[in-house]
Amino acid sequence: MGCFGSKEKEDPEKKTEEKKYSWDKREKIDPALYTVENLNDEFVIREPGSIDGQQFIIQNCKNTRIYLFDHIASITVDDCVDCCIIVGPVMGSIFIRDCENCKFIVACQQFRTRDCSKLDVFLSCATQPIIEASAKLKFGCYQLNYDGLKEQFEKSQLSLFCNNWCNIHDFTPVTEKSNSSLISEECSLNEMFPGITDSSTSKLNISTNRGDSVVLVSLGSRPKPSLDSCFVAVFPSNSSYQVARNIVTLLKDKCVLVQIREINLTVGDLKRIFPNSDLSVHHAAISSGSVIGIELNGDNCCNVCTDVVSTLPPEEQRSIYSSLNKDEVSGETERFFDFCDIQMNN
Amino acid sequence: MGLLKLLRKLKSESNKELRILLLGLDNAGKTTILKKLASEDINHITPTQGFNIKSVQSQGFKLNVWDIGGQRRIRPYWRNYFENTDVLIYVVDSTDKKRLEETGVELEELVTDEKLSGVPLLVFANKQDLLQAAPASDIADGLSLHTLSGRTYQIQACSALKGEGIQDGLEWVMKTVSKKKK
Ligand SMILES: Nc1nc2c(ncn2[C@@H]2O[C@H](COP(=O)(O)OP(=O)(O)OP(=O)(O)O)[C@@H](O)[C@H]2O)c(=O)[nH]1
Ligand SMILES: [Mg+2]
Repeated sequence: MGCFGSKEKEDPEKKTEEKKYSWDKREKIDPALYTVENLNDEFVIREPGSIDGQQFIIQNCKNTRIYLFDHIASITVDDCVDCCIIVGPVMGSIFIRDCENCKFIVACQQFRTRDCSKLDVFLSCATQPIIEASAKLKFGCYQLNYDGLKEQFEKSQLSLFCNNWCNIHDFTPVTEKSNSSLISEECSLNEMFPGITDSSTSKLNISTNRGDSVVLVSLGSRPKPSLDSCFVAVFPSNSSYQVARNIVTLLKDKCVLVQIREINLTVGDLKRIFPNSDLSVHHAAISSGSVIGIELNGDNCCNVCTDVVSTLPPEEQRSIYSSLNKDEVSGETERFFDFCDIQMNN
Repeated sequence: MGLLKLLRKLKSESNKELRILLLGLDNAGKTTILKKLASEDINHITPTQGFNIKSVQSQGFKLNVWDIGGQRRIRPYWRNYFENTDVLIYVVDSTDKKRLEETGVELEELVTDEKLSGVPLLVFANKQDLLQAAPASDIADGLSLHTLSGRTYQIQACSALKGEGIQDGLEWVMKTVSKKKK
């Protein structure tokens, strides 16, 4: 049927008369305020509150530092060369295209690149990061804190415990060599992002120290230092974020954090993941929030971890489960994180 | 039309099933629209590596919606899903000025494909909630929709994130299909 023309064309117009959408009613904002473009050898800082969840565009900059310390709806970075870019929590996606030799610190729901080369990215990503037609990319775990950053994560609906920074999917793999690799752990963020903690930003209390980062820094796919691992689950309570943080921090000289995730579980899920442990005391709690799973690695990890947990206040201890039996650890760890991956991809 | 195909078509009409194909560039918001239609959580959507399919009920119709990944590398596979399509929904990121031309080229390929000839087309000008979104009329111009011939089409502004405009688009789909099937 070939009915295009006047009749079909009238419809949309009629509709817009009847129907007003939220974007028809919103006040006009100048997009230029949310765009950084055509800069050469400059230094741009946006303070918290100056973007406040709007969309942002960065394009066509050269040898420029662009530090956006605020949360953002969605961002594209196009045609930039030799730039250092810090992007606050992004509720949607960051899409980097046609960029070369740039460094990024970013937290986002989706991470996408196309036609890029030589990027170093310190990343926190709620879903699997993807790259296309891009080479010489390096990834490291997000490592940053400043006043208000945690609240910006919340406003962007990003979890601090769902970071897939090293689990990259490459749409255009090459046979000889992987297009992505890991940033050396010795790299100094202060050197890579000049001016990040200088006087102009001192009132934000910016820190690039591992121990201060809002997102706990994880080992990812790097080789584990020891044969001993341990698995800890933190069940929902008002303080579960802090409890999980405390465990990792208290253990930091003895164990490394391999990975950490939070997820909603039903009683059935719990029984499947922990078939040999009786977790019925936690059944009531799991309906009220998500469970945080932590994999740690280090010599004699299980005992060290049990010792540390026993120093916590009793009410915190009650919300924690850690494998006492070494034989259970690998199965529980694997099932918990596999469950998270399956949930993420469906 | 071959006998088998005719039978299949008759069967699907009697069950009031519709096969809807959801296409568009990567990052356009296809999976977000799909999940919104199925009333699922839209905060943890991974870029699509293959395809997703969901069945949703709408006004007595069963809509089988196929959402195919839009990454440049996998666009050549779109054509594997063309067969028996009742409605094509093409999703555009209205804020992506850099790729308006690219999305136009891909749409052009679709509408000139024989297997999709005559299939009604709904274009979603998505992400209208964002500051830099171009109005649907600009997207229509960019895609040269007015040059389409022999095809019923509609462009609908929407925000998958806010859930606005999606239902209006679907209503057009149902209206168009019912007319066609009379
Ligand atoms: N602000 C806003 N963001 C949106 C909207 N629709 C989708 N997004 C975001 O856009 C990004 C891409 O959405 P997806 O649904 O994954 O896009 P897609 O078209 O399925 O992409 P591919 O699977 O790669 O083909 C995600 O971060 C979404 O949250 C919208 O209406 N408004
Ligand atoms: Mg998708």
